[in-house]
Amino acid sequence: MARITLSGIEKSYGTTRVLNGLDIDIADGEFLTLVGPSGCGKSTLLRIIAGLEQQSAGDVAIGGRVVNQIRPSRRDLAMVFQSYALYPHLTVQQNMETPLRLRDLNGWERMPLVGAAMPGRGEKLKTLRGLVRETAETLKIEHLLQRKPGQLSGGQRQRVALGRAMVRKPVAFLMDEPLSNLDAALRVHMRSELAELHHALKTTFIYVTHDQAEALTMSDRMAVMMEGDILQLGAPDEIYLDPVDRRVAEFIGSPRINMVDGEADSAGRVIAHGIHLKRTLGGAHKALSIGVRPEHLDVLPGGGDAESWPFRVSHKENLGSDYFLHGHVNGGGQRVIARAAPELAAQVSLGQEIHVRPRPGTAMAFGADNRRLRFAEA
Amino acid sequence: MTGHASPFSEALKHAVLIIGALIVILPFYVMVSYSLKAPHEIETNTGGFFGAQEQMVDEYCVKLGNAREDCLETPAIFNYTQAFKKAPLLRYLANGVIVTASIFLIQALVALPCAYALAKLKFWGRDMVFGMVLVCLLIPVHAIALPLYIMLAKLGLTNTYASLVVPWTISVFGIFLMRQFFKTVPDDLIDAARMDGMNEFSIVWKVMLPTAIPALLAFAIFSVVAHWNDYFWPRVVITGDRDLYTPPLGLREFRGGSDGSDWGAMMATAMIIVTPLIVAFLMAQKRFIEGITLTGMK
Repeated sequence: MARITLSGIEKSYGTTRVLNGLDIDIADGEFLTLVGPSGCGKSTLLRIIAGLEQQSAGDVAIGGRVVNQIRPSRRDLAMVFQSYALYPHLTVQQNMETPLRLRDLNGWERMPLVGAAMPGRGEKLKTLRGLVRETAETLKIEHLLQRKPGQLSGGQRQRVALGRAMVRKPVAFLMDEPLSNLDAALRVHMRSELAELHHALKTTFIYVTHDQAEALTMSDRMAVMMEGDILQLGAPDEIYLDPVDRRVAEFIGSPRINMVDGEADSAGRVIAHGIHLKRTLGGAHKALSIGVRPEHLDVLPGGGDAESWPFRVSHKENLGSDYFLHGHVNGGGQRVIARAAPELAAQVSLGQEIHVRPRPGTAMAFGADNRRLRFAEA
Repeated sequence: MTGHASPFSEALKHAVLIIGALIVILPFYVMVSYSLKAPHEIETNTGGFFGAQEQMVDEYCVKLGNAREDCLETPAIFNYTQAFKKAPLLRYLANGVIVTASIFLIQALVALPCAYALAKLKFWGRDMVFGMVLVCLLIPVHAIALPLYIMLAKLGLTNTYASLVVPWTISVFGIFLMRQFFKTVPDDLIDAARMDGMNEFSIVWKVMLPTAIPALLAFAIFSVVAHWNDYFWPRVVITGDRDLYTPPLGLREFRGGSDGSDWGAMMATAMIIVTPLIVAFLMAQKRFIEGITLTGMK
């Protein structure tokens, strides 16, 4: 149906380049997330796909057809905005009808007085009202149809915005941080609802967010963007477990991955803050960053061993199911976070000197250029 | 507000405000009062606010050869009937409505698309165009009145409705005001309309206009008040044809002639002229404050 292919997309504003030649191939029905910090160009890329912004170079193809010169409305895409962008003076029903009226009624039929006299208009209106009702039922907003956006809560507006996008049955949905204006609980709820909606509709979703949790929970694939480049494109698991770049590793995952300074000698043996890692790198590296995710640090409240770091606990963060222990390794400046089960954390008190040990095989090494360095397979 | 102001400073504040209000209200008070009183009461400054409302003799009526008993009138009724009798005031009021409504409609028709382009579209030279709009705000009407008059005269348009309307159809103030308002409308809303398939003109009329109703109302007040009350320009371009007189020009009919100024009828006319404005704005007041806010947006 609609495969969306981006090839060599570049965008500059004056002399500032915001996108540096991006290529993405989005399969039909895929849920692709563009994730990155603000200013990385993800929204610009989405707007280029939508046609709201013209790329400086490169092609956008939808279903094999290059659409560079095609107006946004003719691309048959629907967009959901962060601010919802509902027409404040129209009711929910009218808001949802607007895209259909503009698509299905001709100019004469849309005229205020003349329109009513046009033959066939009544039939068309009936069909599109039916579509609106159907969509409203799917989203459970039928009871809101006669209200105006000002009378709705944030979550309800969110649904209406989604509804306005859905009524057209577009080939793809473009979503620009649609959940960021919701409160935390609703956001988590809408995450699962959006994912379910995606399964039900089987339409392509392109979703922009700065929230790595949204990207991890919903997407089939995610593209981590920074400074106008796609650093890594892959399934959420792959991005989380096997980041190719230090910036990806640091951006994805909450709490953040721990980064500890290290170096490798000529034989490739890695020393990170006083402990030797079992695996070796290909050669010598002066400045390494060794990344260990908080859940990959074993907390040893008793004594340590040669493979563990002394760790002074400065803060205990209680999440109910888990504790995150914040502290410093070797009394050094680097803050490290380790995850511990509540029973284990109960044995640890603030200020206590304990040990944490990276679980074998979980550490990741990054070079000075942020690139991932692979350990030799043991 | 921080803390409680002392009673003294509160009293002072109110005193200043009351004095200000009195200064503003005084001419209105005189207008209303004179419109009710008999001529001799106005001249001698007696009778309080309402006047005694004693039966008085209409001297003009007597001059026409009627018996004095037939020319007895109650001053208030006499003044107001006189306002309509002595000049075709209804005609003038209708002219006023035609002129101010046409001016405002065309101003909105021009200003809204201009303001939209200046606020939301990116094009080469936009800032310069906007700068020119600002400069135009500084040009006083009277400075360009003569060239305008000559232009209209050469086109043979003096003594027409067109001459009353055309010079005011492009309101830089309107463009400026609406542009500032459109700046506050989120870009997302416009992008959503584009995604829905609206062209730029549809966006102006179907999206921007409804959200801009409060600003447009504010502009309507400026525009309507200015042109309804305008004496200067109609006086310049309407030189002969009394059928085209706007209400303020109508006031001239009561200017002192051989039998002296007819103050009572003149003030009654003034009352009739300002009443529609006052009523309209009392009604619009609520809309003003409520407005259509952009609450659907965030």
